[in-house]
Parts: sequence; structure tokens; C-alpha cells
Amino acid sequence: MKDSIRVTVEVVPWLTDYFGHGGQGRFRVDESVGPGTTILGLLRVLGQEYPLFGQAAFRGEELSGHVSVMLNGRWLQPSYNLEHELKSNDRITLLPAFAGGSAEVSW
Amino acid sequence: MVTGVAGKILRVNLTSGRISVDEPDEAFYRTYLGGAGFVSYFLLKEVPAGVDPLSAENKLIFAAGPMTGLGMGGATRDCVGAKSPLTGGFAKSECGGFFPMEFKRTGYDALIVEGKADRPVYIWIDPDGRVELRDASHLWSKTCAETQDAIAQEVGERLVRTAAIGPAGENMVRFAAIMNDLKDAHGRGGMGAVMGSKNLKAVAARGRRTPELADPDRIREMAQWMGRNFYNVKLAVKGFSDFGTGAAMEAFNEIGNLPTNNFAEGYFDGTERISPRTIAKTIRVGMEGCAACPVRCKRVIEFDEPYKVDRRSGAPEYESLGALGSCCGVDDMKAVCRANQLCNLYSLDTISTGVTISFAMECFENEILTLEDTGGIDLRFGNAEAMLQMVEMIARRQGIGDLLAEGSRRAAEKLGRGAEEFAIQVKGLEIPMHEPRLKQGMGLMYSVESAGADHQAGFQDTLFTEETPGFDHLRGAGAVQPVPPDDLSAAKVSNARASHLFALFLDSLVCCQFLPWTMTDHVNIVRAATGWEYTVHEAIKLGERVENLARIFNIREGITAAEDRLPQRFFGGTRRGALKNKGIDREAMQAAIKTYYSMMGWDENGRPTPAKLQELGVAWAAEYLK
Repeated sequence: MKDSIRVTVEVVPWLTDYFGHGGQGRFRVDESVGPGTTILGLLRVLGQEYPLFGQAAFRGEELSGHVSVMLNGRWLQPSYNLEHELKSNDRITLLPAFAGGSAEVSW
Repeated sequence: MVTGVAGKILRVNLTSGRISVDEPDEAFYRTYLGGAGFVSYFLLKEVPAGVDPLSAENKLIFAAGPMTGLGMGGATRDCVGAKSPLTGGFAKSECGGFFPMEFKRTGYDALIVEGKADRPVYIWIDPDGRVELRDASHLWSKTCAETQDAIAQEVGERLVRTAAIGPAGENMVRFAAIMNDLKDAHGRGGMGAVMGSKNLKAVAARGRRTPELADPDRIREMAQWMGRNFYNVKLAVKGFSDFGTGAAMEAFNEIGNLPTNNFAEGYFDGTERISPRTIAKTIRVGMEGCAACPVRCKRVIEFDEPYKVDRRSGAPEYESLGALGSCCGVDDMKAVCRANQLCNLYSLDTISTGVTISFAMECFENEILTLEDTGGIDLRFGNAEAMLQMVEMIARRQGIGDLLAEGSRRAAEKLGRGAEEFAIQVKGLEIPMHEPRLKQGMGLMYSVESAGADHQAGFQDTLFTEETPGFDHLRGAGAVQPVPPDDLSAAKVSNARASHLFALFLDSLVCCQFLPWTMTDHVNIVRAATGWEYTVHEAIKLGERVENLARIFNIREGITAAEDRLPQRFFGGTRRGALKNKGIDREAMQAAIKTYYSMMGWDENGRPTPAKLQELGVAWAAEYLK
């Protein structure tokens, strides 16, 4: 892709299950995306490449809240941070959503 | 008399053998409700200042609440309180299982244990509400499991439930727990040591009475609704039901929430080896729950090699996986499970045990403790066998275990030579497995809570960073707007305070936090049980009442605002991971603490004002501030 940006995507157990890796160990893939692609845009790309991930991460066009994101080692909250434009060599880490002492708790 | 409660508080004086019953009026129940409300009242009123927590003058209070025993999700918990042998101040600890419901069904709302028996005894409350003091000399030194089995035979009730101590409580380890039904712990603050100091081995109960309810149909309807819907509502708790606590342990590690190597390291390479999902794929044989609860969040495990861990003695929760695992640098899943089992059998708080062991490990690595001190045990981070040996030695107060049984603060004071830096505690209570450098509202609550660092009455910052159903829920308690986890603005203080006060209401009700009841649901449960026109406002005022009385108890013991502080470690970053070089801003935390005092209606030194106490209907408590 001309003028594309290369970023690294890391997926943390157990979210790796959605990427065909059985839920264990880490999964890492380098992705090329167009300039101006946001983190949210990257998630949509991944959702198309890995349909199980797409089903987990999105409800229609909206984020489902089941996936959390880190950028270069820093957890991103609130979700408007996902409009951040990616730069070359950015490292995106995908985590299962969490709260308190558990996972996927929305209270 | 009000419905929903038994209307009776049992008193047992172990010195004289006298058994009596108080029958408080409705106003008392309306003001203090039960659980933590009762504990905060009775400790301030009846335990004089300066009492040795391990003396006969301390009182041990077991308190149910109006929700205990209603046969619905989350409704089988009790609260135990006393003056803490670990902190020297106010202590309370909530716990589930089956004992609380059984106790409530004997026809009492609370049990106040006074004095000290001249030989080991247990209290037996039979299905007719009769109370006996029975000899427990033959049970002394037995584990909690052996104790419950023996008592069941002696009283002729196979389904008797117990709140018991093991050898750690008998040896007055300052962070000994009281175990409900073998595997659920009143962990924090050393309640088991207080019980041991009284020569009280167990409280055994088998009941069959339920209080009259104002609207039993409504209670039944709510219970059935929760049983059918808990998995799917917006406030769902899928992770708890599928995997138990800590289902997101790997995610916690990535964001920096998982304490590693005594809160110094910041990232644990062995997380996946000890995570609940790995446990589910290997040694887990099922899930179980507390009485009448549909969530069933308790892991059941079993294995024979290299240690024997049976399914009766429970599996580690997230706090235990962290404290005995990552905090000690240990990635051996079976060793962590074995350590958890030993803590349950011996009645030890897994959090304080793990964090005290990790304190000792850091002292060892810095040559403040030597091989001679440890009896030849290589007490370095990551040594699973050493961690297990420490659990045994602490429970039995053997060798270095005798020093560590005093808790990390006292052990550090005794060792000196810079050991204080490695004692990760607030007011003497070891810090739980939620990293305050990430969750800074939690760090604020760790600092100011009267009981010391208690995550269950704290604030889970990462839950409240956006407008979600969860945040919407917390607005009822006074939360104002979502803010990031590392924010310490007035909005964060307001949110953290709201969460704390709501938690204290739940601890008085007594209700589990893992059920997706809304605040309105809880209030409706109180209304249906009691017939009162109870409101969210009244519930939050109760939370304030509890914290104010607890605060006064501490002030009277000489615990001042100077103790409202985190260990120095948290003002610097971790060595690795997401929080590398990201410590808490000390000035921001100090400002947040001052803001908290103001929001609580306290003076600049954190002392409740007379006006505040009058507002809360506890003007009588002002006398204890003089």
C-alpha cells in the first residue's frame, strides 16, 4: 500500500481465541494501514480480517465494550481516544474488557 | 416490631458464661440497619479506648443484616468486627458462604462475644435458638475443616454451619481470619486473632426461622427475576459466573494493575500460568456458590500431585492468586492453590499473608533478612516452596514465621535497616491486589478508610471512566462525572466517596457486590423486608454514619490524619510495564485527601464535626472526640 503505515498489533490471552490461537499465549501481527487511519479504523480492519474478533468487538457499527485497547503500553480511556490517528511503529495491544476483580463487568 | 429482622441481638460473655439477649427498638434498626452499621455502633459504644485487641476487653461482633437469609442472590453474608490487632483501630470484614444465612435463621440479627473463656469453647446455636457454650479443648489445633466435621457429629446436625478458626487464629497471628464454611473468609484485620484470644474456636449454627417480611411476594419476585436474568442484564457479571474473580487477570497485568514482586515490578511474566482461565482448563472441576445465589462464582479445584488439594477447602480468588502468586513472584499454579488451601485450613487472610511474605522476600533480597534468619530458606521472589513454607511457619509462629505473624508493619519496625520501605500497608493493613498507581481513586480510599486499605469498600476507577450503566448507577450515591483512572480531581474524589459510602451501605445490608442489583433494587429489598419508606438518600446517609463512627473510633485510639497515606513506593513508578515511571503525584494525592475530608463534612484534620454528627443522628458520638 503506497504511503502505508506499519503498526504492530498484540493480542493478549484470552482474546487470542478470536484470532484463531486457542485463547492462550500472545498473538502478534504487523498490519499495514493507510495514512490517517485511526485506532478505531484499525479495529474495523481487524474485524474484517478476523470475523470472530469483529463479532466480539462490534455491535453493528458501534463498539461492543468487550475489548480494551492500549497504545504504546498505555491503556486508553475514555473511548474517544480511539479516534487517535496511528503513526508508524505504533504498538496496539488488545485486551479483553475488565473491571474490578472480573472481566466483562459493566457495573 | 419491624419486619425483616429478628429483633434480637445475642450476647455471650465467655468470662462469666452468661448468655443474654438484647431487643433493640425499631429506631435502632432504622439508624444502624445491621452488618457494618451494628459493628460501627457497638465498637464505639462498648470497646473503651486503649483496650488491647487481644485482651478480654475487646468485643467480637458477628452481624447479619436485613438482607441476610432472604433466599436471593447475594443475600447470605455477614459482617464481623472488632478492634483490630493488626491496625489497632476499627476493623470489619464481610463474608459469604452458608453460615450467615444459617445464623440469621436461628433467630438472631447479631452475636456479641465478650470476655475470654478459661479454656477453648465453641458456641452452638440450635434450630430452636437455644445457645450453649461447649468444650472445644479437643478441637484446639485442628483445622477449620476438621473442626466443622467434629462439631457436626457432636451436635448431631449434618448440615451445621460454622464460623471457625484454625491454628493461625489460635496462635493469634495478627492477620488471622475467621472462616465461614471452610472456604469463605472474614479475612481482613485479624478477626481470627481476636477470636483466638478469647479461646473461642467456632460459632456453630443450624436454623429454621425466617423473619416475617413486610412484602414476601415482592422479595420472592425479585429473587426469581435475578435467578433468571443475572447473566444477561446490562449490569451483568458474566466473568464472575464463568470463571470466578480475576477472569481478566491477563488484562490486569497488561495495564499495570497486577502487583508483582511486592508492588515493585509492574509486570508479571507468569500471569497466564496462574490465571483463572488456565485454572479452568486444567485443575478446575466445577463452580459453586453461596447459599441461594445464582452467580456461583466460586471455583472448585482438585489435584493430588505434587500436593494434595481437595475440593472442600476452596480455590484461590483473584486476591489470593495475586497476593500468593504474582506479588511473591510465584508462577506455580499448584503451589498457589496449595497455599490458598493452607490459609483456609489454618484461617489466614490470604492478602495479608501474601503481602507479608512478599515483604519478607524483598527484605531477603536486600539482605535485611539472611539465611540464618529464615532457617536456611532461600526466601527470594519466585521461590514457590519458600512461599509455602512461610505460610506454614506464619500459621504456627515458628522461626521467622513468628516475626511475620505480627504483620509487615510491626515486622518492619522490629527489623529496621530500611525494612519500613518494603511494608506495603496502610494503617498496618496490607494493600490488596489493585494497584493504586493505576487506580488512583482506589489509592485515595486506601489512604483514608478507617479500616485501612480495603479494596471492597474502595473505588474501582477503571469501571467508571465513561458513561456506562455502571456509572449511571453510581450517580445515585453522588458520583458526578466519569474521569480517567489517574485523575485525582474533585470529580474523582466525589466518585470515590460515592462508591465508598454505597459499599458501606451494602456492608450493613449485608449484600454481595457481585450481583447486578441496582441501588434502587437494594432500597426496594429493604422496603419489601421492613415495610419502611426507605430511600437511596437514607442508604447513603447510613454509609456516612458507619464511616463517621469508625473514624471517631480510630481518632480515640490515636490514629490521626498522619496515617492517611500510602507507602512511599507508590509515589514512584514500577520498574516495568504500563506504569513504568508513572508514580502518583504526591501533592495531587494530598489535595485529594483534603478534598475528601471537606466532602465528608470533616475538619482539615479529618475529624468529624459536631454538626456532621448531628446531621447523621449520632450526636452522641461527639463525646468520644473530646
